Amino acid sequence: MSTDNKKMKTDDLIGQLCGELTPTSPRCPYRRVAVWFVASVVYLGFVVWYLGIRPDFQERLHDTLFLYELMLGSALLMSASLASSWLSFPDCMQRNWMKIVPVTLFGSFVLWIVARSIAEGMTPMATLHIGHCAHEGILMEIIPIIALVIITMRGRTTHPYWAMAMNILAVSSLGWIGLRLTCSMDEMGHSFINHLLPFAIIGAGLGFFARKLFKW
Amino acid sequence: MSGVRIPPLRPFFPLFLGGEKYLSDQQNQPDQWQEWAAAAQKGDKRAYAALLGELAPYIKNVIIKSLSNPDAAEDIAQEVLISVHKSLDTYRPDRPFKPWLMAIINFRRTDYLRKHYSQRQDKTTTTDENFEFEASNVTIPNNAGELKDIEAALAQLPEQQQRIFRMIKIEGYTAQEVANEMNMNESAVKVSAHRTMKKLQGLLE
Repeated sequence: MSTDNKKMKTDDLIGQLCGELTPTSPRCPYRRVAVWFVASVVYLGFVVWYLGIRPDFQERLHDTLFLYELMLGSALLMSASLASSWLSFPDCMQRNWMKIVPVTLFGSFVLWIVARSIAEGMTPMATLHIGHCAHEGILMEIIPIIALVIITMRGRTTHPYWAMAMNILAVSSLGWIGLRLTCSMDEMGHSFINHLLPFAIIGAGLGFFARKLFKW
Repeated sequence: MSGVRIPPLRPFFPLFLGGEKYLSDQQNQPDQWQEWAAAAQKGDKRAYAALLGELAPYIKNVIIKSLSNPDAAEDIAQEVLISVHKSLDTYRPDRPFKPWLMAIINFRRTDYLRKHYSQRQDKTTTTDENFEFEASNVTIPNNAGELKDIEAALAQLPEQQQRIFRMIKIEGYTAQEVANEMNMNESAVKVSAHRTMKKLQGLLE
């Protein structure tokens, strides 16, 4: 009796779900993230233009280490945003391995910062720059992170923490690139404390809400 | 009888009993689901009903293996069906169906287990030197089911579940009315009310 009763309830549910069915086209995994990527880069360009590009930018373009940093940041931005897009599908488009790419890039990024910090020493920072870079970074990242979180919320992720981590990595690398273009202080101690640490803390805070934010 | 489960046939077994059809059905099943899911995305309700009809027992079978309480399998299976419905647009017909479904099943099962263990932890307490707790929470044997017991049990549930339960079971609203009021899906409201009832039964036992 009890089994029949339960079967009826499941059958009822199936009937209701069938009644609610509306034609839908399969979601494209690349379209939204491509729009986000282009819009974020344009937005970053606008903010960099508004804040003013660093005066020695032309010279820095001949510095291999500076270019390496920018390329590492760009690779992290692209791979993390792509992983975030795939993670907003329940089965991650069956490409779970993709998470390894941004994580590895981030690992090499951290190693790069540590190696340079050891080589340079944690140089004292100008007081002016302590809040200044963090504020500019927030300006560069606030709209892209909101947009990316909304995109993930509209998806159906089964890995909320990973999805949030990828969002944070993508937007942090965007901010990092932007700050390298506007801030003329190249000391790694400064970059680490002002360009990365505030956003890592904000990101970790957001991570606590990942499961609630991406609930469906 | 509800606890009895028939284990799936081992691969060699059907060969003795004309089981080629069983084997080929097992292999073709995901392909068939893939086709039905693709048709459902185009709005084919018959294909969708066939898909959900086949998925329901399959999901239950998968879930029941990892649960100590087989009754919960029905709840989780229904939740998975609702999730499949909500996320139908994230299935791409050019990709296999089963990994997509399994990801949803695992997600909902983990969700259930997380809630289950957190609630069990909440219930763990000691009455030693805690007379106030004992007086307000411990029910006298053979006296369970009083209104205060029901109210106390209901108060332990999440606020949304309490509200849905009160509106449907006490105030007499229909599921559709509650769904409109709470901005929810009607089927989700029904599932929630059903689950609340089961939880209350468990709490009052």
